[in-house]
Amino acid sequence: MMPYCVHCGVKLNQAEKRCPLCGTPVFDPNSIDQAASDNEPIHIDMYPRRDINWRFLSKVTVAILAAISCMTILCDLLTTGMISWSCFSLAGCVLLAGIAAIPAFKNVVLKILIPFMGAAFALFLVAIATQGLKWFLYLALPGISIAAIYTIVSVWLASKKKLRLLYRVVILLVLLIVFLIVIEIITDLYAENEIHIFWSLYAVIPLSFIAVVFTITAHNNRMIDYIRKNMFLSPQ
Amino acid sequence: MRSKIPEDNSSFPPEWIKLDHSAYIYPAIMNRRLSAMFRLSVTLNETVDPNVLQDALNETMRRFPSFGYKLRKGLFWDYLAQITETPNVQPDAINPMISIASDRKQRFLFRVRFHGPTIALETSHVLTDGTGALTFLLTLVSVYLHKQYGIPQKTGSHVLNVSEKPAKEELEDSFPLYRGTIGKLNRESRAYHGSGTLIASHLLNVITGIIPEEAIRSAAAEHHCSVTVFLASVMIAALQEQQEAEHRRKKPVRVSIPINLRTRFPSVTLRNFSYWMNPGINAQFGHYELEEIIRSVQAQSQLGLDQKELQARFTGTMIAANHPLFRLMPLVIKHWVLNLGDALMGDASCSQSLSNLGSIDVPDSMKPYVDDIQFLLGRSRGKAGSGSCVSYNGKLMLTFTRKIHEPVFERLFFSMLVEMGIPVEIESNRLR
Repeated sequence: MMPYCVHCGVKLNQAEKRCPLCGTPVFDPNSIDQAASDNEPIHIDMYPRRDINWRFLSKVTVAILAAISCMTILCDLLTTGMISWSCFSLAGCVLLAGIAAIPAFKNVVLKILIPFMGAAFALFLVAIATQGLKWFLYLALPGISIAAIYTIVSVWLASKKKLRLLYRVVILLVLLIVFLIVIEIITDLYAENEIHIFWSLYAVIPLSFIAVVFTITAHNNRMIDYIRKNMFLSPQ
Repeated sequence: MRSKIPEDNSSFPPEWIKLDHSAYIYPAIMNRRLSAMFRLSVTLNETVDPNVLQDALNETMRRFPSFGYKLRKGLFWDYLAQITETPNVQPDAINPMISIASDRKQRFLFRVRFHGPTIALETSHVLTDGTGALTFLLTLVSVYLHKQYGIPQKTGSHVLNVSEKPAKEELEDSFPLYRGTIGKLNRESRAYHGSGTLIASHLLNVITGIIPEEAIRSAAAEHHCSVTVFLASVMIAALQEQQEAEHRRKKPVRVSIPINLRTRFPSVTLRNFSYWMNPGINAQFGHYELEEIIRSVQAQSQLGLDQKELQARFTGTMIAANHPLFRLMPLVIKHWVLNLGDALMGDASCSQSLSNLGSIDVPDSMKPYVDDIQFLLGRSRGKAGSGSCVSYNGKLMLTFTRKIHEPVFERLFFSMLVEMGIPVEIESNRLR
């Protein structure tokens, strides 16, 4: 005898312990065919992503860039007797090596700091080659330092899974607003020695609006649930 | 009617072939989460022997060259490159149609699976449509039965003779051959979509309703309509009820119904040759009774099935795909454009889909061995789920697949059938 769902009125397969339509348990547990229920196909997990040895790839790339840098410096020394134009090539290699070296480090802070340090060193080399250390010290270095701090804070916030996603986004938006204003202050101080907050407002105003909307939404569980269910978003 | 096929003296099957016109979209949207696949399975009356099944697959592959291709990227277009080997049969999974794009060991665009007495074919829509896949699977089963039990191989409507050489026409893209001169692109408003809690991307909830074919045919005959129109109308009625319970702004409710163009144009291709129509109701005009829904769907279906209307519609899509600007786009940008278009419009105009393969007949020699045939559609992108059905051996197997937890629509739909006095037996894949 096949079981019926007392709620939906449909016949249920022998292996069903609950009605798949309404979740009502099968009324007569004796009718469940345990053998049919146990003899189910296997469950396949998502196939793993392509396995690439990023650390090895990173080391090889850095080694190639180092070789290119050495050859360029050697050529420069042989042709001009000093390090001149090779500074620009060296700067490019240092910048690329900073990015390529990311997978070689396990520490997250180092992973973030290395490319920023590479960028700073590359700009320093350009500054030396152009005899313009002032723009490097007062514009490039503070800008890169602030960007590095912002990235470290963003990654740290992203790892705080206990904090609701929308709150994390709001904090990042507020930090981005601060970051943009500080960048404008630095450029103003370098260029005019005076502070005129202007262009950053074009980004700050819409970002502030989005931050307010997200803050209101983050307090409304029903709205979040509604959006998630209607847009088929993964539960957090 | 049919355009002349250019003389082609090159080797057959060719080393590479273009995608057919309805397959352009799939490589652009296929990824780890979205498989763009569908599945057909045959349940035999005895446990399947995987070794014999592998032998049968090796033999069947020679008759179906269109399945021996892998997807490759060119500079401007995706194309299919020939593979000379045969895929291995695989044990079946409780979570079917896991994306082929995520499986780097899988070079073929289809899988043959087995479990107990079941042989299943999971195939990407890049290769073929339901009719092509059904022909492949039933031919595979006939070869398996011949090898296992020595039953004579007889050909039928969906069973080909594997000792015959494949015809060139089976590998053709039939769309350009039957295209017209005037194209028509339908613009439909956004339809109602049910909501629900998303499940993990490699999972799919499956609920199958097994309905006596006689009962559903009688119910359809009572309403003077076909089985497809009747089922689509009940689906619309269930979706209408679901929408009304949600107290949201009313939107039109439509069900997408694929149409096998081989029944309208004399094509024998085993690649994609189908189009679709979206009959439905505008729920903003008020509550529709089932009779009203059936009348409306019936009228829209008659117009949608008109040969000239169908030709104009697929010609419209082809004209858009052959636009010089689109053709000159590099593949990366083409994929981006198609992906964006599909995300915005793909499932926007329909609330659910119903793909009906119809009543399947197999050669008499196979009948004692084949118990059931089942048809499942893969995960949808914009809508919660899809419906598909096939009739065989006096049973209609109506399957709903969904990517959400809540079976609200399915419960409403099957309850409506039960209330009409149609007996329904339910089974599921029991995901935990």
